[in-house]
Amino acid sequence: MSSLAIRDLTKRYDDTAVVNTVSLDVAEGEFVSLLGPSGCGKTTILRMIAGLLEPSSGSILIGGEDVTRRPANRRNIGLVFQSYALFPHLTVFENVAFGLRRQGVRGGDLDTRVKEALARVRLDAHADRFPRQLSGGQQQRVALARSIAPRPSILLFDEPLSNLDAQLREEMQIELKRLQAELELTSLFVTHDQHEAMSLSDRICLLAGGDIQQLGTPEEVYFNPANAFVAGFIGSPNKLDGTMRGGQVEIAANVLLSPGTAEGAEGAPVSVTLRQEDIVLDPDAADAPLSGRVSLRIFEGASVQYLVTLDTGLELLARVRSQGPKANLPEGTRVGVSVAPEHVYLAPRVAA
Amino acid sequence: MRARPAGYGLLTPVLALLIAGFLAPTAIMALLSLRSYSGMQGFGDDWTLANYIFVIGDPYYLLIIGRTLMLGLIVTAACLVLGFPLAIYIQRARPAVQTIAILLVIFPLLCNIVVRSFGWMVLLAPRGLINEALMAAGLIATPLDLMYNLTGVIIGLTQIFLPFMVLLLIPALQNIPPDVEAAAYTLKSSRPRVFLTITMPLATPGIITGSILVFVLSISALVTPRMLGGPTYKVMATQIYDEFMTNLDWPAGAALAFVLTVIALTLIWGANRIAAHFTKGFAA
Repeated sequence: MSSLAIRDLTKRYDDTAVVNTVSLDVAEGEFVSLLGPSGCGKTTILRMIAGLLEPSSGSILIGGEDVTRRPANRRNIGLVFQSYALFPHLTVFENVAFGLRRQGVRGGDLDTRVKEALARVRLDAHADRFPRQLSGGQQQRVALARSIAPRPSILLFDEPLSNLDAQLREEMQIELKRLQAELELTSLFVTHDQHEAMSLSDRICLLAGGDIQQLGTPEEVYFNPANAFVAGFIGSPNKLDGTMRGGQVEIAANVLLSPGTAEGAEGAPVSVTLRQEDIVLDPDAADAPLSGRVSLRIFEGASVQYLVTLDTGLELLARVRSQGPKANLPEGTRVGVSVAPEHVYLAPRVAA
Repeated sequence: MRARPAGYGLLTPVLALLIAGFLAPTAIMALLSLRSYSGMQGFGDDWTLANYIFVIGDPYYLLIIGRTLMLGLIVTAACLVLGFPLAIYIQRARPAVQTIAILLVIFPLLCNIVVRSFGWMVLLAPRGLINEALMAAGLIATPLDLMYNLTGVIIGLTQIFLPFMVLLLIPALQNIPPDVEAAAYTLKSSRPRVFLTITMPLATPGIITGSILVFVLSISALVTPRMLGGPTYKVMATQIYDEFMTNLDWPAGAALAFVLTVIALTLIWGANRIAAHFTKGFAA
C-alpha cells in the first residue's frame, strides 16, 4: 500500500472547470471519502487518479511517485465501479485472475491468490459461476476481490454500493470497512451518500462545484461545518431565507435567531440552515419568543420527525430520538422552539 | 403463464405468405432436382440422384463451389476488418457525429446494386480510372487485372455488404456493459489487450450475426459477380442462373441451388455453436 497525493488537480471542459485546483493527501492505509452532490466533480477526480481521464493541469502522486502522465494499466490501482463492471464472459475465478495473470502470476500461485481473494469476500464456493448467476451484492464482492487480488498501491471506489438495496448496502459497508482495516488499504471512496461517507471514512472531503468545501474527520464535518453548504449537505437541514438585524438573523417578521457567527452587514440577505436534529422543542415553554404547534408527527423507527408550524406561518422540520422524552408530542401540541447559536449556520444570499 | 392459443392467429398472414411464396416453390425445386434431364424435354418423369452426384463429382462444379466459399470467407473477413474500427468509432462518437456517420454508412444502400457495380467497373476496368491513374503516375507499366476475376468480385461485394456488418456491430458494441473495458484497463491490460480479451469476445454476438449475414449474402450474390466477374469467372449463383436460363438444365440448377443452401445452413448452424460457446456467460 502507498500514499496518494493530488496537487492542484484541475479538469476543464471548454471553459468550465469541473474540478478546480483540488489538492488532497491520503495517508498509507487511510480511508478518505469524496462526498458531494452529483456534478460536484468527485467521479472526475477518481477517474483522473485511475488514469481513465486526463487532467487539464495538476499532478497525481502514488507513493510519492508522479503518475500524472502514466497510463491506467501501469498505475497499479484497484478500481471498484458502481456498475460492478465484471467481465460477463469469464467465470468468477477468471475475473479475479485477470489482473494477476497480467502480473505474470501463474499455475498454483495463481490458484492460491485467487482463492485467497475470493475467501476474503466469502465467495470461494462460487469460483466456477458466471457473474450473471450471482446476486448484485455477490457481484460487487467479486469486483472487490478482483481489485484487491493484484495487491494494488491504492484502492478507488466509485459509488460501489449505490446499486444495492438498503439492507445489503449496510452489510456491505461493514464488510468493506473490515476488509479495508485488515488489509490496511489506502482507499479513496466516492459517494453522494453522507451516511455511507461518515460510517466508512477516516476523513471526508466534501466537494461542491469542483471545489473542496471541507476536509476533516466525520465528526469535524458534522459538528463544525465549515460553511452553510456543508451544514446543509450533512444531516437533514431546514433551509430558510433571513436578513441580518443587529447581529441576529430575522427569519420572519420579528422572529430573530442568534447565529454562531454573523454573516454580512445590517440588512444583508442571508440563507439560514438549521438541522432537524438541532431544533429543540419544549412543550413547557410554549410562550417562548419562537413558538408554534406540532402539525404532523412521523414515526421513523429510530427517530420521530415533527413538522412544526410556527405562529408566523413558517414551517420547520425537527427530529428527535424515538426513545427520548419528547418522542410522543401529539399533533396540535404547542411547543417553544429554540436552536443553539452554534447550530445556526448562515451564508450570503443574493436577494431575489 | 401459458400463451393464449389465439395469439397464433397473428402469424396467419406471414405464414400464408411464406408457404405460398417460399415453402411451395422450394418444395417444387426439391422435386425438380431429383428429376432426370433430357435435352429435348427439359426434365423427365423418373426419380434420380444423378444431378447431385454430377454436381458434387464434377471438377468444374467443385471448383465453382470452392471458389464461392472462398469468396464468402474473404468478403466476410474484409467486412470485419474494415467494419470493426468504423463501428467502434461510431459507437464512441458524440451523438451528433454518430447520427451523421450512421447516415453515411446507410447512404450507399440507397443506390441500386447494378449502378454501384457499374461504378466499380468504371474504376477497375483495364483502362479504368485506377489503372489509368497508376500508369500515368508511372507506378505500373501494364494494367492490373482488377476485374473479371476474384479480386474484382471481392472488392465489389465488400463495398456492397460493409454497411450490414457495421450496422450489426454497432449494437453489439453498445451492449458491452459500461466500465467493463475501463476495468480491464485498470487491471494492467494495455489497449490492444483490452480489445482482444474484452471487447472482441463481448462483441461476439454481433460479429457472428454480421458474419453470417455477409457470408450468406456473398455466396448467393448474383448481380455483382456477374458484372465484375464477367461471363467466364463464375460463382455458384451465376452458375445456377446459367443452368436455368442458358443451358435450360433445370434439374442440375436446382441441385446446385440445394447444395448452396445446405452449405449455408451448415455454416449458420456451426457459427451459432461457436457463438454459444463464447457467450455462455452472458447470453440469456
